[in-house]
Amino acid sequence: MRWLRSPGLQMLPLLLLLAVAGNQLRLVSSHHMSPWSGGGFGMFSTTDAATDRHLHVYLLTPGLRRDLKVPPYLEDAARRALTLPTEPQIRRLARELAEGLSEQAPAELEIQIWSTAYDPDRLTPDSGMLRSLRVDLFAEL
Amino acid sequence: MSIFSPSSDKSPNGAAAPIILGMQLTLLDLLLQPVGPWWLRWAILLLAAAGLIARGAITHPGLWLALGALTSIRVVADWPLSDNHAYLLSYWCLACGLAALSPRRDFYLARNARWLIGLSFALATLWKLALSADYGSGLFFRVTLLTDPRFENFARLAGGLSLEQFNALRDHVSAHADNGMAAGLAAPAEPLRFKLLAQGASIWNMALNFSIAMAFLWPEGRGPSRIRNELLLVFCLVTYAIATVEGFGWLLIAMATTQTSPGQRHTRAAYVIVFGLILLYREIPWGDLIFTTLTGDR
Repeated sequence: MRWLRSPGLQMLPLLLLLAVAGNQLRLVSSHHMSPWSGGGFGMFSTTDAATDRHLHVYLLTPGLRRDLKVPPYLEDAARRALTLPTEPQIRRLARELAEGLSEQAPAELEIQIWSTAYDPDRLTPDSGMLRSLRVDLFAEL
Repeated sequence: MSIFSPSSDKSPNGAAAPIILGMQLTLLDLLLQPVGPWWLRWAILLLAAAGLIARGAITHPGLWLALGALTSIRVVADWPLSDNHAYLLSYWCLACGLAALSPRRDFYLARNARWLIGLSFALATLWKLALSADYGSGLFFRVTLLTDPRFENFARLAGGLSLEQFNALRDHVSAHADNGMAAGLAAPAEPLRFKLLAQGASIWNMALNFSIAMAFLWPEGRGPSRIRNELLLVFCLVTYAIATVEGFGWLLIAMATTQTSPGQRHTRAAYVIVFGLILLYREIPWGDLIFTTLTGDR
């Protein structure tokens, strides 16, 4: 176990910090991760926090598009999808939403993740869609 | 041994005063601000309490490697929701554990404390200065001072906003605005003083973040490194009075205490005082009290 005492091993925490921060930069630029999260120390640097993002969920059945509210017990899954709107995170939310639905007919869930930017002169907000995903409920459950 | 005494006074396990104090403050941070889901929290709390109470446990590598593992599991379990200081806490516990395995424990832990603080602030500076589109212009603070409830009293008092102005501006920035729906809304006027406050807060934070990064990454004992403790103390004193992120403040202080030189007893005392102040910031609604006293509003 002499390797546990090697001077090089003392650099591990620093290397981890840099590697995680590098990965956060990648996720922010390629997967719309909120810069506040992910270990890159981007908190308090931008208005694009997960708490300033919002989502819309629609239940799509033949001929009908219904707006769904995310129930409070799925807040955690919703926050994960807002923070890092990758397909796995959105599918996870869709799966948990689908478990609370009683749809018998073929149906899809459409989940949209939105972020908000502000006009620098008038502070007027303008939200744009970061990502949208349709999930077939029968295939997912 | 006094926790403020120079390194010639060693604890029974041979560790210098700054190391012991830094580790004690880290464990105190874990007890005052319990972290993780319930299935991890109890174990972290028990280890932190044992580290403070059990004789000789505080510098035991097993304690810190276990805490490093548990706090890392917490980050993974919470992915991607963890705040940045959750990551820093796990790096720091790992650094304590690895240093405790080494014959040069005090040297490695002090160096890792300096570099972890320096790199954290360097990355924060990078985001504020270069990567964020809305920080340098003051836009971030113009919005956040209105939307983050923690800043409401400060925004109204220092920004000179009446309750009506504050509510009008907050409602405006909070309007539902998908695909430009809010473009036609009439924007309430922003007082110049409020804009200047936001711009000043941006410049102050960028300058302080950059200075702390430079001071902690600079070779020790030279140039800006000589005022690193003063800079960090000012940062903690001011920042955590307004933005109550006490877990981060306590962690920074615990790490910074570890890297003080043995003779810097007063600096360590100042860190402990600021650690206590951050607790008071959390427990006493001083912002509300000052605001109510000065404005008569409730």
